[in-house]
Amino acid sequence: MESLDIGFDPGPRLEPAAANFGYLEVLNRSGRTAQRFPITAAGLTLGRGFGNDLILDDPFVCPQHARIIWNGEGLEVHDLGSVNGLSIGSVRLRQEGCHLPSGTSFRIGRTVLRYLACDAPLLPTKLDRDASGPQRWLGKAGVLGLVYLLTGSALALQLYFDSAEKFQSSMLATSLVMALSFGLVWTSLWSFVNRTLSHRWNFGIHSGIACLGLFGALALNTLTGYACFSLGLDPWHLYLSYGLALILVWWLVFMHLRLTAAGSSVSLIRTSAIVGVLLVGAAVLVNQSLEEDFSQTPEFQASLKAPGFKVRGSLTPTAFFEDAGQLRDRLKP
Amino acid sequence: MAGSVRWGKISRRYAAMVILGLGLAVPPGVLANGGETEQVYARFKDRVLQIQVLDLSSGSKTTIGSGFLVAPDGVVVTNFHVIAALINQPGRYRAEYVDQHGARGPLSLVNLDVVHDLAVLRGNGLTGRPLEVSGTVPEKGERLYAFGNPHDIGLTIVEGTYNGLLQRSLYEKIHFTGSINPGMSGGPTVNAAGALVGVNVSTAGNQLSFLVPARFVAALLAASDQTVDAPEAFSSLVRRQLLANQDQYLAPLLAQPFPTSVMNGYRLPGELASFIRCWGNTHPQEEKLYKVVFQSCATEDEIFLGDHLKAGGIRFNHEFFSTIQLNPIRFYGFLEENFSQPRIGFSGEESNVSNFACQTDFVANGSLDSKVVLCLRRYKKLEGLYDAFLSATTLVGPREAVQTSLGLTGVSFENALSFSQRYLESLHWNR
Repeated sequence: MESLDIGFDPGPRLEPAAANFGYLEVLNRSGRTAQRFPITAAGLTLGRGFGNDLILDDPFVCPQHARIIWNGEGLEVHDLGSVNGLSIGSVRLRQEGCHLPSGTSFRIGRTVLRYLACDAPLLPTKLDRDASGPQRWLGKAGVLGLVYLLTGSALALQLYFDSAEKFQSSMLATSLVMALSFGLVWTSLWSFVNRTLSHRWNFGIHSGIACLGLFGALALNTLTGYACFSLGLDPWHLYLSYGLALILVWWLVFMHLRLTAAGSSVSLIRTSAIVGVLLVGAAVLVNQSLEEDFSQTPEFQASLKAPGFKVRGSLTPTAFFEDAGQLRDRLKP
Repeated sequence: MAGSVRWGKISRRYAAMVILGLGLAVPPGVLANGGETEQVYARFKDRVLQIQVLDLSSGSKTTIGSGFLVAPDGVVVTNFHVIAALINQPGRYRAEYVDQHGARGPLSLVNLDVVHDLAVLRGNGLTGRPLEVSGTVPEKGERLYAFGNPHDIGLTIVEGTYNGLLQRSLYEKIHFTGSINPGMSGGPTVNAAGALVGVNVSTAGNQLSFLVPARFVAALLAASDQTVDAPEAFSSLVRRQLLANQDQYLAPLLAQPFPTSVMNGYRLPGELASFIRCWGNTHPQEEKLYKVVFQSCATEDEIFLGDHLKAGGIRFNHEFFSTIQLNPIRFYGFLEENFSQPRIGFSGEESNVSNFACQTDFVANGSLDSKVVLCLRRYKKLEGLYDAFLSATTLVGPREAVQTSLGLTGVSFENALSFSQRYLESLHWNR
């Protein structure tokens, strides 16, 4: 669910006399509200002079430039005989007034202003991601502890299965410290971004996401190896690894962004995809640049697992060497 | 400093004993040859030349070797490996002779025998008395005299003895017991009468040296029409000689089933021919939680093609791995890492060979299922020649496996596949 409907209902309409007549907003260059001033029954004078209700520090605005008044039915804006006049859309007013419905923007000098009545519709209230989605589980100490434990165990298991030597606690410690250091840097980075954008660190949740990412990387790496062995996909191993890495990074960045940024899910998915492609693309380029153009030794990808995991059938030697005939074409200059 | 003083005292104390010992160690024949060496040197020194390969840009010598006159009109014989740069990088080098009086002149390539490492050249303006090339075969133990210019220090004569032909070599060579050093390559080794016995070609150190028999020189001279050709034509000749040679030594091997040896219940290719030698051992590696039994087989000699490329070799090795302590996941994880690191090294540079192209799959040979990788690479300047690498890991049990690797250098594509297939088909599991 993207948004809640809170705020769509403006509530009972207030009588203008009982409250103010709305707000005059000074907009910045990107069209966002920079300042907001209440309009009372007495109206509002605008100009560069210090005697105005709203002083506009704009050299193209006259000392007494315009006035906003209540005519009994609504608000009007009047030009007070200014040098540059007053523009509403493409209409320029000089020494005359104009009705000002809610939502109307007008320009004085080079300053753009907008009038909004008290009952002007508001944008829907955005969802605070801290309080929703799967991340909220990572905010619980028990779940977070479990994620840490799961990732640490996966790392230790990976180390155990990758070694044909007797267990060495120093190797495990080194591996854990390296993973922890990388995780800390990654988590701190995202927490800092989170703090900058939404005034919260969310360090625990970001660390949980990072742990899940590491766990996913370990699991995907293992699964890719077994899939390549079982199904004979060795020639595709590299592409499969890059593809899965892209999906993992995409998911990881999306989870961090969802907690950090206020954009819609679609825009976050799009941003995560771009970041994922950039990161994995950079990794591919770095790998390729590190590879030598020429190698004296044969370089090949050949996964090897226990015979019980083999699913693909075997070729006869004759069939294998008949297939090998294509190597001649591959070697042609 | 204290150490050097102590060593000085010891050396003085034992100096007399060492000198006496050396005197006793000198073979009686040396003391008894009655100045024969001086006579041989005096008679034949003028027939030996230094061969220099010079870089055209700098004018400096890049390779030195020795050579000798075989005809009065300036025909010179040396080793192919001395002048290989003329063919491998045409237009970058030239060759010159330098005689015993310091006179020098240009040399042009006339013919070559890359398999036996011989080259025939013609020296412009070079005249003199040649050595007799009759294909003399000495008696074992006969005294021989090797001429050459070791390390560019001047013409040297080295005494030694004839110890027959190498019995387990793919390419016929004379075992000469005498000190042949770098720079003497291509120099003649003669008997006391001055007849050519062989051409200096290589050494294994400690007076263990090798000569190309004179009969190959005679055959090459007989086949040479003594016209000078372009380097490209010689490159083509090298290619033809290598293709013919690999057909010649592989055909008898492929004509019959490969001889095998048994290793822990596996039947594996063994000493396929007299020129292939196998060595083996067992490594119980306690800290590694597994045991490895290995056997390594190889031809003793390869053909020199350039500074970084050799051809004509057959190498293979088998490793039997077994474990009690490792579970199958850990054991095969280790085998995977081992499998991806080829156990056979190859020479070559980007300028003369391509990268390897590989193919991987499961192959079942009878009851023996294996994961197999086959890789080939192409010789860029010698069309039709390839290096091949085959590696297989057996998939029969959770706690034992054989990893075997084969390397072939400088063979045709068809022979690479035929030999590799025969190799793979000769793997059997006896249980």
